[in-house]
Amino acid sequence: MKVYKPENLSEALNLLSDLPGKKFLLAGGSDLNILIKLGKISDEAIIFINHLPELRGVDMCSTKLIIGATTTISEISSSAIIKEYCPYLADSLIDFASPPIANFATLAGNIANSSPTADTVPLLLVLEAKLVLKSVTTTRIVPLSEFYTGYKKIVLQDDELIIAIEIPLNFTCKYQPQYIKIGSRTALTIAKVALAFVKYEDNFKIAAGSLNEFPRRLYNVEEYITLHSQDLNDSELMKALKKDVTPISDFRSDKEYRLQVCFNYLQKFIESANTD
Amino acid sequence: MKINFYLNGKETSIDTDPMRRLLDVLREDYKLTSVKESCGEGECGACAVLLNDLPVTSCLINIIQVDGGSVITAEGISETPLGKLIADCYEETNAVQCGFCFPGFLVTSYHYLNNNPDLDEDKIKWALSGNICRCTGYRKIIDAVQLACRKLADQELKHESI
Amino acid sequence: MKSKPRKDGLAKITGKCRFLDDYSPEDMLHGYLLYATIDKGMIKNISFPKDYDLNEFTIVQESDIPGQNIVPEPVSDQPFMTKGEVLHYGQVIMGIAHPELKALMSFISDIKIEYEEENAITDVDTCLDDKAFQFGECMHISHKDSAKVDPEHLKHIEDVFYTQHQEQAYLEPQGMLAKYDQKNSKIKITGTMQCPFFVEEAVKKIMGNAVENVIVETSEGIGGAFGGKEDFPNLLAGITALLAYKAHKPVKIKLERADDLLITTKRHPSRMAIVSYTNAITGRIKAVNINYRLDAGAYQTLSPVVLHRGILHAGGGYCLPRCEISGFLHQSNTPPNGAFRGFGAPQAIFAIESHIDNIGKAIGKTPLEMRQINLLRKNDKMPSGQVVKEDNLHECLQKVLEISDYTNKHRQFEQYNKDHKDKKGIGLVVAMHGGGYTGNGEKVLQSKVKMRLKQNADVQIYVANVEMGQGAHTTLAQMVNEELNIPLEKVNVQIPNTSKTPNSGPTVASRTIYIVGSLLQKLAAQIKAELKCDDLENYILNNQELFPRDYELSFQPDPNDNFDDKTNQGIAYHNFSWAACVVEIDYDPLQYKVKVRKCWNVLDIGRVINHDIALGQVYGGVTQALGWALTENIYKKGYPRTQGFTDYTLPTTEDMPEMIVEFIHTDSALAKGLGEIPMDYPAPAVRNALIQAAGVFINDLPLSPERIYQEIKRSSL
Repeated sequence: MKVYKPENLSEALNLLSDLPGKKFLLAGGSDLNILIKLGKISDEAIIFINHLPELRGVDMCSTKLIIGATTTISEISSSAIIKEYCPYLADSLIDFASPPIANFATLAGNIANSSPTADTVPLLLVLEAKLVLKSVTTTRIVPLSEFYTGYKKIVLQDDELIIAIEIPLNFTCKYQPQYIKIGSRTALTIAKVALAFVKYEDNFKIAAGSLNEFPRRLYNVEEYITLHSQDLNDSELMKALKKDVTPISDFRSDKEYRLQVCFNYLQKFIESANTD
Repeated sequence: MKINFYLNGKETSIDTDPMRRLLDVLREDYKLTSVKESCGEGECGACAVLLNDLPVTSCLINIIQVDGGSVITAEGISETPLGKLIADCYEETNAVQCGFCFPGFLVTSYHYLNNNPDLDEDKIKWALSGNICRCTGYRKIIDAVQLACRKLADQELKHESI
Repeated sequence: MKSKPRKDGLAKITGKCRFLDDYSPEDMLHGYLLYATIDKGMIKNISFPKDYDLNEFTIVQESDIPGQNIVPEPVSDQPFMTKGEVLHYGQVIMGIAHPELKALMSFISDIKIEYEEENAITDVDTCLDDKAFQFGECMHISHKDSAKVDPEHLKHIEDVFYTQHQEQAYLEPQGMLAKYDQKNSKIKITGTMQCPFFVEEAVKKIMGNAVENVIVETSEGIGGAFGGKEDFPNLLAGITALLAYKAHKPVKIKLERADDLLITTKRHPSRMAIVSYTNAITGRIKAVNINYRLDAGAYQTLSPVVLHRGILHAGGGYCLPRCEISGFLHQSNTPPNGAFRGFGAPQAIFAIESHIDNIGKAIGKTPLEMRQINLLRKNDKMPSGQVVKEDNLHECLQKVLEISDYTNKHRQFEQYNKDHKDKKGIGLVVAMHGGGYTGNGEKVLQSKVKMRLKQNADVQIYVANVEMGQGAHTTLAQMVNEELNIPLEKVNVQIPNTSKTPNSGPTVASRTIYIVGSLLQKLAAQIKAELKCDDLENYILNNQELFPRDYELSFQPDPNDNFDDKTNQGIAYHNFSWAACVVEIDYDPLQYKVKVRKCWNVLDIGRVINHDIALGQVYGGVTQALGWALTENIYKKGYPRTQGFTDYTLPTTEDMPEMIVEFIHTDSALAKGLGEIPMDYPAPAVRNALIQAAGVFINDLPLSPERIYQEIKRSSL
C-alpha cells in the first residue's frame, strides 16, 4: 500500500486524477481498516484526506445545510447547527456503532463505503440530501438517491471525491421524520432493518436500509399511501412494499423477519403521522 | 513517514509505515501494554485510547491519523488526579475481574468524567457502550463511575488537560 | 460490611498487570497454528510459496513429534496435529514460526493446501436427531423411588429442547509462550490457562523423552476463561513447545480473534427430549423419561464429563419419583466442544425448567404451583439416589417470590398486556449446581495444597488454581487470613507454577473455593493447632529460627461418599448450591424483541467470603446466560461460523437488566460453589417470561427476534 498525504484539497484532486487504477480514500478509517484486515486491499494507492480542513465541518446558508465529507459522526450529532435545524439527524446517530467509533467515523465514509446496511443513508434519503462530488476538472451535485446504482456500485468516478453532503432546508416538515434502526442489540450493531419516514405536506418520503442492494426510497409504498391515505389496506400495503424491497436471509437475520418488521414499522409510522 | 505527536503529554516522533495501527505502534514501539488487542475490529473497546481528547478504538486508527495530534493511554490517565480518583472508585466498588477490558474502560470513563459528567445511569451506559466486558455484567463498573461523579461534585476538580 | 478489596485490583485497573501478549522476550518468534479449512476429508498436498526463504521459518508437523501425538484428555482421542485425515474445520495441520509476525502471516496466506473433501456432518439438528452419529456408550440413570406408574390416568407431555453453541468470548484471546533451555533439557511454558498441570501433562506427552523437565506457569493476568481455557491450552501449549524446541528460540502463539472463534472449544449444543407423566389433578409429576444428547464435535476429549454432569442435573430442582435419564454423545465434523461455565447443566436446566411450565400450561397449573408441588425438599431423593439434606432450595424459592413480588406482578402483567400494545412477562425458575468434580472425581484428583510461613510472618499459599478474574486468589487469601489471623496484606497466593505448586486440581467445576479453599482452611486450622498460639504473627517473629516452614495437606474424601460410575447412583456431589430466579421482561411486538428489565436472584452458596466478589460472579454469570438466551450464536445452518465480535453479539452496557441479588444461609460454616450456578437459570427464566409476554412456547435457544417471529407466525396458522 502506498500512502499519499496531500497538503491540500487541490493536491488531493490532482492525485486522484494522476494516479492510475483504483484508489482508496482514507478518512476516519473505520471501514478501510476492516477491508485491510480482510485482505481486500493489497497494493492499491491510499490517499489520506482526514487532515484537510476544507472537507470538515458543519455550515449552512439560506437554502441548505452543508456537512463536510470528513465530519465525524460525533461532530454531526453534537453540532449546534444540526441540533437546531435537523435534530432528528443528530438523534438518529446516537446508536451509530459505538461512541468511540463515532468519534472518528465520517459521514462520507459511511456513504461511500456503500454497505447496504449503511446507518446514515435512509434518513438522508428522505431529507433529499445531495452529494457534492469534485474532481480536478469538475464539480457536480448528485442526489443521494442517484448515488447508488447496484450492490456496492456508486457513481463516484475514480478521479472524484465527495466534498460535502448538502441537506436542503425546505424540509421543515409538518411531521417530524421518524427513524428506526433494528439491530441484534442496541449498541454496536449492524442494522438488520432501517426505516426513515416523513410526511411532508401531503407527500410521503420513505426510505429503507438493509432491505435492498443499497438503501433506497420506497416509491411504490409512497405512492400507495399518498393515493390511499383514507382507505389503507394491509394487504395492498404489503404488496406495494414487496415491490420496493428485496430482503435477503443471511447470518444476521431472515428475509421474512426483515420484511415483516419493516411492514410493522411502516404501519406504526403511518399511524403516528396521521394522528399528529 | 515521520509522525510527530504528543503521547501521554510528552512530545515524540516516529518514522514508520503510516498505515500501521496505532494499537501496534503503542504496544510495540512505546511498550504501552495497557492498550489491548481483543477483537481487532473496533467492536470491543479493549484498545481504546484518547486521540485528540476523544476515545477511539486504536485497532482501527492508522498512525498517520495521529500526526500533529495527541494520544493518551491508560498509563497516562492513571497518573492524573482525575485518573487516580477513578481508579480509586473502581477499587472501592471491587469492579474489576479479569482486568483485560479495564484500561479501555479507564479511558472512556475518564473522558466521560472529564466532560461535565452526569449521574444519570443511562448516560453513563451510553458512554461506555463501546466497551465490552465479559466478566462483570457491568454493574460495578457503572457503580464506580457514579461514585466518581459524586466525588467530583464534592471535590470540584477542574477539567483536566494532559 | 464492606468487602475486602481485591488484591489484583489496582494493577488491572491501571493496565500494569501483564497478560500473555505483554510478554515478548528477546529473539522471540511469532507462531501460528495452520489448520484445515474443510470439514472432513484428506489432505492431498501442501505447497509452500516459492518466493520465501523456508530457512527463516520453523515448521513442525506430526512427523516432528518426539513423544505421542495425542492430547491428554478424559478421552484422549484428539491428535495435536493431523497426519492427513481431517475430521473438522480447524483441525491443526502444523505449527509455523517466524521472527516477524507480518512475514509469518503473509507466508501463511500464500500456503496452498489441496484437499479431497468428503461428506461431512455439520448441521447440529441433523447430528443430534440421528442415532447414527453417537459416540461410545450411553450414560444412564435409573431411579425408581415409587411404585410403577399407570400412565393411563396421567397427563403425558412430550417435548424436545435444543440449545446452541456458545463461545466463551474471554476478552483475552488464547495464547502460549514457550521457552526451550537446551542445556537443562527444560521447557518453560507461560500463558493464559485454567489448568497448569493439564498443560504440563500435554507438553510432556508431545515432547516425550526429548526433554527432561517441563514447567508451566500462568501469566500474571488471565483475561477471562469461563471454561474455554480448560483444555484447548493443552493443544496450543504442546505445539508451541515443539516449535520452541525445534527453533531453539522462544515462541509465542497468540490467536487472532477470528481463529479463536473458528477453532477453539465451545459450549456443547444439546438436545433434550423429555417425556413426563403428571397427575393432572394434583400437579404431581410421577415419572419422567429424559434423553439428553450433546454434540461433542469431532473428538470426545472431555465431553463424557460434560455429559455426566448434564444427566446428573437433568432432573433439575425437582423430586421425580421415577425417572430414566439417558445421555449420549454425538459426533459431528466440527471443532471438539469443551467446557463453558455450567458444563452441561445449563442445557439440561433450560430443558427441565421449560418443561415444567409446559406441563403446567397443559394441566392448568401455574408455574409457581408446579414448582411448589414438585420441588426437591429435604429428605427427597435425586435421580442419583442422593438424599437432599437441606431445604434450602425451597427457601430460595420463597425468598425470590417475596422480593420480586412475583404473584402480584404476574397478575398485573396479565392486565397490562390486555391494555397495551407492548407487552410484559415474568418468569420463574429454580436451579441447583453440584460443587466440585462429579462423583469420585475429587477422590481421584487427590488435591494437595501447600502453605509456607516465612520468617517475616508472610504467608505464601501454593495452589494450582488460577486467578482468571473470578477473585479466587483474593478469596483464598481471605480464608487463610481469617483462620490464621495474620494480616491480609501478608497472605498471598503464589502465581501457579507446576514446579513450585502442588497439584490442587484444575480451576473448574466450581471447586476452587469449595474444595481447595476448604482444604486451605483446614490446613490453616491444623497449623494453628500444631503451633498452639493465638497470635501467630508475633509467634513467628519471635521464633524466626523455626521458619520458613512448609505445610501441606491432601484432600480427604468423606468415607461415606460413594458413587457408582456405572449406575450413577450414590453421592454425585457432596454439596449442592441452590438458586431461584425471577425475570421480568419487556417484549416489543413490532420487532419481536425481548428486553430483560429486571432479574431477582436468590442463592444459597453457603458462607460468602467476599461479598463484592460473589456479587460480581452473579452479575457476570447472569449476563453471560442472557447472552446465550438472546443474542449469541456462532452457527446458522448454511452459513460459515462467525469470525468476529461484529456478528458474535455479546451483551453491552445497554443490555443490562436491573439485578437484585440475595444470598441466604451465609452464616453457614461451609463456602460452596458459586462460579457456575448463575449460568444455569436465567435462560429458561426468560423463555418462561416470554410465554406471558408473547404467548409462545419456544423450546430452543437463542430466543432471537427472528425465532420469536417464526414461532408467532407458526402458532397463528
